[in-house]
Amino acid sequence: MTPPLLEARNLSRIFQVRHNGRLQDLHAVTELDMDLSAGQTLGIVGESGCGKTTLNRMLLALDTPTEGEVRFEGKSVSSFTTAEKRAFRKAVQPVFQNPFSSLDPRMRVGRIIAEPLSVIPGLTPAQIDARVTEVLEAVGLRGADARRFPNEFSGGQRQRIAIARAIASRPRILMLDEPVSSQDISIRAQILNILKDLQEQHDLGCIFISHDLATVRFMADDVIVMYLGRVVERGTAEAICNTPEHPYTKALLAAALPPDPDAPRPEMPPQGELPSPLDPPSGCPYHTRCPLKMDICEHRQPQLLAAAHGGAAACHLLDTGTGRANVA
Amino acid sequence: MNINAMTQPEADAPILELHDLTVRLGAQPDAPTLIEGIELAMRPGETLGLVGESGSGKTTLGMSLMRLLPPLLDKGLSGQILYHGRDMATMNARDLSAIRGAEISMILQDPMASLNPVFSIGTQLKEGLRKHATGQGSVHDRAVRALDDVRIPSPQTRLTNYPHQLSGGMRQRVVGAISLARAPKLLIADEPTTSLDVTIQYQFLDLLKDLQHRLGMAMLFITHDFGVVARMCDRVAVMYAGQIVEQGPVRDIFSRPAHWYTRALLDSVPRVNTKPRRLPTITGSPPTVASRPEGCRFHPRCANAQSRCKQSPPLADIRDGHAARCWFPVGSERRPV
Repeated sequence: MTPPLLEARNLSRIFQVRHNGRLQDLHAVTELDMDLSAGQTLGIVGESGCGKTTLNRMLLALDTPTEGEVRFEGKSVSSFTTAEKRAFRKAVQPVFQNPFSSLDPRMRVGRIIAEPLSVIPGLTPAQIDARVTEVLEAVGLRGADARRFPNEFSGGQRQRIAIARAIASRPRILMLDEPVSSQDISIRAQILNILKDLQEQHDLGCIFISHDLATVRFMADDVIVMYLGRVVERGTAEAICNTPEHPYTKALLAAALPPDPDAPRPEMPPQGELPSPLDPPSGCPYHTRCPLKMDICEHRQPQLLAAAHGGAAACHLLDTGTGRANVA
Repeated sequence: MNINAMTQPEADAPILELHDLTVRLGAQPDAPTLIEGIELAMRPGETLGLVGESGSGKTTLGMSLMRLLPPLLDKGLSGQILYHGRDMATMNARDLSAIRGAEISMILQDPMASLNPVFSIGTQLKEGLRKHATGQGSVHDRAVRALDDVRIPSPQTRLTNYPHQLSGGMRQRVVGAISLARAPKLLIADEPTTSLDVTIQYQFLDLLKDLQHRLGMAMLFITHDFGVVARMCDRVAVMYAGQIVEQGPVRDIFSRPAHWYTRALLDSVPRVNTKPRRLPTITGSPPTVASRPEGCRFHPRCANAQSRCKQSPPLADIRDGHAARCWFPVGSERRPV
């Protein structure tokens, strides 16, 4: 069996931060597992402080996990030789949220897009120019735009340039960190469609990080929901959006306000605020905000268990004999 | 224009009326316009959603209602801003400052831009309360009550906190407490939840609705998010390139949008319960102030544009309280040209 394109095994990242004058551990990501295959999109959903950015950085090999490992085509990223690292950089490309900060204002678009091609040895300038034109056209811009500067483009066009840069080196994986949240609504659908087209044409694996379940539903095949650094639920995008089991996923779903004035009010509206990640709650990390909290939730960390939708959720309500009916 | 026919009896007289409100980049009559020919009326207690993309002029409109535009733009302001029949567009600075904060108040997108980082939130809250001497209890008691009203736990101790010691959601509630401490009659909320996480946004919107009912206040809710509009608003005005292109009751706007822009925007929003293969899109980008097209400003991006669209359409009634700035509104496209 071929290994997944990209996988994380038991991934944890602990930062040491100074808080009130002493060093403390901040568990940004805890014991996370995930798989990504070619042609598949994995959605990572969560709010600020859930660890999705730290996870993104570790998957891009920009940060080293404290424990566990990231594997690319079955091989641990930490054991890569220099040549393998170079191949990894070419194969995994990021697109960030804000194309105003991710594009160097002093570089012409052509140079911005050609930059990731520098890891590929033996490309002639003519080949590079041809590739730049090709990817600009792939995202709906013109080859002549290579001679212009980023400030000559609108926000939506800049995000297209960032996507062109990401696909220039013919990557296998795109890491998309909130790629449309800074865009105007009439632009979002354009960008999402481009990403989907590119994925299908090139059989790309995509990690799609977002706080918006509606966008994730459109983009992702599978979804993991993170809260305070842990996976609290995983499943197909359809399962997560239609029949979620974890109360936090339900709260996220309730918070995704539908464009419909007659939409029914959710049964379990979100409540409370995110606790400090420096002082996370005992037991289940979500118990301080959970409307279905039981005694056990304060004391014992729930395990990720098989859920009715075919995925998994970390909630004591899924333990046998502890009010399973409540969630059904 | 016939406004919503279903308003309550006490809500007959508008609290705010805008007539031909225009803001230019300076006083010259040929200077480019940021917003143009705005006609709006708001009734006491109602929530009007102002929807648009960046550059549509929705923030300029919100700021002009408070006469808080930068000097260059304030010089370029024309038309009427009638607050209870008094024209704020021609009002002197003293009368304006009597209205600002007390009668009309504002919540902006970024709470850190509204709060001063070097003063405790108690100091900042009491500053507004002191200006307004009437009301029961000491200034301190009223400050505690104001924080309690926005559901901030242990308000006594929170008064001594500085903005950086609060979470984003709590900061925005403090801004809410400051804005609402003097029980304004009209609140202008400019993307107040855009910087908040979705679960915090949900709770803040609920809180705003609750406070609105208690104070009987009208609200102009500026946003780009149709989900927020659907949750919060009674009526909606859609802005595009400096003009109102459609307005009407919220249900009507969502179920029977009349302007092609509104309809295309609504179609392009992804939804949690369906997964289309592709999302319907609008081609191109919204025009900048310098590049606004002649005629209908949406026509270069409109799938239904015809030759007549090179002339400016008026904002015309479609049905009761629902108007659109379009020669061929949605549903009438088979009409002979």
